[in-house]
Amino acid sequence: MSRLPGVVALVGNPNAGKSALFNALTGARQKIANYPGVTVERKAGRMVLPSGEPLELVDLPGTYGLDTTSPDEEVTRRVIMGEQPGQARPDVLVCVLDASNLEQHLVLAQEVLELGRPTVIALNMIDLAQRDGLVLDSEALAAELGAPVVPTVAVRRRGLDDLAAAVAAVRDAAALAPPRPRPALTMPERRMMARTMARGAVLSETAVHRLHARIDQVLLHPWLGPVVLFALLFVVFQAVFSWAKPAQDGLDALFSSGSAWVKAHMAASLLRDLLTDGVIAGVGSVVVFLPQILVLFFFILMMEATGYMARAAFLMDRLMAGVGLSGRSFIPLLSSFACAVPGIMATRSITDPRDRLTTILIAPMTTCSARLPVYAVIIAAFIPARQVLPGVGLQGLVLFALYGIGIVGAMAAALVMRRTITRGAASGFIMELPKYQLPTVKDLALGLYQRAWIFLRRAGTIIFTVAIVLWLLLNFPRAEPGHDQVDASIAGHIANGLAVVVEPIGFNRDIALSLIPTMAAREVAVSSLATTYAVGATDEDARATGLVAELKHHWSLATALAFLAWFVFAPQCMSTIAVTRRETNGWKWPAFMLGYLFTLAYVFAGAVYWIAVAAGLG
Amino acid sequence: MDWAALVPEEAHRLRALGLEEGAQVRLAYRGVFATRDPLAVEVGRMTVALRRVHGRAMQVEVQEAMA
Repeated sequence: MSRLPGVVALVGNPNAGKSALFNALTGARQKIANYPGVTVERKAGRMVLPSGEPLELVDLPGTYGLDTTSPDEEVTRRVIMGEQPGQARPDVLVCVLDASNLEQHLVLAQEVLELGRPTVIALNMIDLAQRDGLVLDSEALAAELGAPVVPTVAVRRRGLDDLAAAVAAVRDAAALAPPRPRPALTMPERRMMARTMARGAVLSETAVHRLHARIDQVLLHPWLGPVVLFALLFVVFQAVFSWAKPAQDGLDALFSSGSAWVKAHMAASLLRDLLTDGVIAGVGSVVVFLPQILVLFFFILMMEATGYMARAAFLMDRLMAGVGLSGRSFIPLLSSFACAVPGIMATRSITDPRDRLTTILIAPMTTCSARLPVYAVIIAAFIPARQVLPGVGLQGLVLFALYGIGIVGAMAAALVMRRTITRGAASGFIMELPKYQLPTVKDLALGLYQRAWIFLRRAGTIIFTVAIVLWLLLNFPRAEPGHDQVDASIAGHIANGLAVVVEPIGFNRDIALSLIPTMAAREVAVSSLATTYAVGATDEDARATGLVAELKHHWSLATALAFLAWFVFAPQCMSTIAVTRRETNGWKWPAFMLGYLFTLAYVFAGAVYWIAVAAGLG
Repeated sequence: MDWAALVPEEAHRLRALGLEEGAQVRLAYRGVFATRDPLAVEVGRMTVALRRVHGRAMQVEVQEAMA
């Protein structure tokens, strides 16, 4: 063929195993982007026909019908109809069905077949159906539907060649005699047909021993369920901090030695400083969080792939309903404890737009991993390592309280927002609880690789730019000989202006100065304070010890507490703001987020400072 | 089924999941806290989570337990 490769699109209900089939058909060579103008991911890859001819395979968002209710589903409809800009109309549709739930999935299949387009039916997860005691007659089903039906097991790579052959066959047949649209049925008619067809296709149904029902008896148990969930969350948080530590230290050492190497091999110059202080320090400070993010995503992908995530949402729904959200918001908020960026991206699964916006706006209040370095340094400097109760240290208690304040703040903010700016009917919670499945290593690895790449590319480019801009602001204009470079620089002037604003809440000029580069990412506060206090040591740990002594010397306890309070709320993270802009399609909501979080931070830090001073801690 | 009691979008979603007139449902699990919200309902071979407001809009006839 001389023209562009043809397009094949995967259509199906959520939980039909579309993505697993997509991964199996295309391998790791996938392109993930957004459809222009909407925040719906476009996943495309290449599949090969038996003749060796390549086709572009597009994985469409799961949908229950072509009469759509959410932005995701709307994209699916438009792509199928050929109305989506930037996407050629698919030549062949592959309708993916869950073999063990035909009654439900055949409804969409009929709707797709009515369009009269070349269509292949993939009878997916046939192994799970067999596990449930179902024996299916795919030929009878093909005769009923009037379309080829191919049994597949995506995760075991079974039936893939047959599927490719069927795709080629219907495409070639359509070139000779284009299929015609069929008369459209109404919803109840389709459902009735689906029921009849599903019964006709079942050859035998032995006494169903449904494993998932028994698992659910434990995991959705009124009191055992939450216990299991919280135990699991505890393990996840432990893992995020302990498993990632060695890799994180390794990366940190890598960046320090890279910086040292540049210093050793380049003559002292502004360019060298730009490389070491700007690029390596700036980008490095963010990339060290990659191991934590990978560990967190490992658990999140596991929970999603096994089907547990929907159960977690189910268990948390009541609590979230208390503040006007639903169980669906729990997943993004959980991710935000590692980093708000993937958390905000995960809000796409929330169908209600007001729910989604509220979740995005409160996500930065959950204590992300970037705050830990800041908390750790300040707590080490000012909170005595005293035992409050046996096994409970004061330092740990303060850290726990900071996490707690963040959670309470987020919940309170959600409550207020749902009554004001995102007011509306209480959102519902309707969600399919998918069957339990064992995830495959390949799908997990692919998911992790994609997340890592997105994180590195997105955070990397933004941080890279900001690091250079901040470095320029701190270094220009150049100071007269004998004068302080920081004072002479643009950033220094801004800091002096800012100091007037933050003095009422107990911050000094050094803090004001550190707050500027900290806009890039919160953990930058540590390194910028260290620079400001001109501690000679180069590696991060030695710097931190030196910094602890300096902080004790320069700050009062009230100032330190106010600084901690500030970081609970302050939205000092470029990546979060950028991703919010992208996900809300404009500057209005990120501007609002900045405004309300800075106000909260200012008021809270001020309150802490003045209460502490009144208590004689000033 | 009292569709009028529901937000149109939610009614649409329930229908898409097969919860409509004539469907056979089984209440499988209930939530944890005081109000025991939400509910998990088995319809056909699927389990669907929904809230009590949705459940209240449904009229259910008790049937003998099916095999």
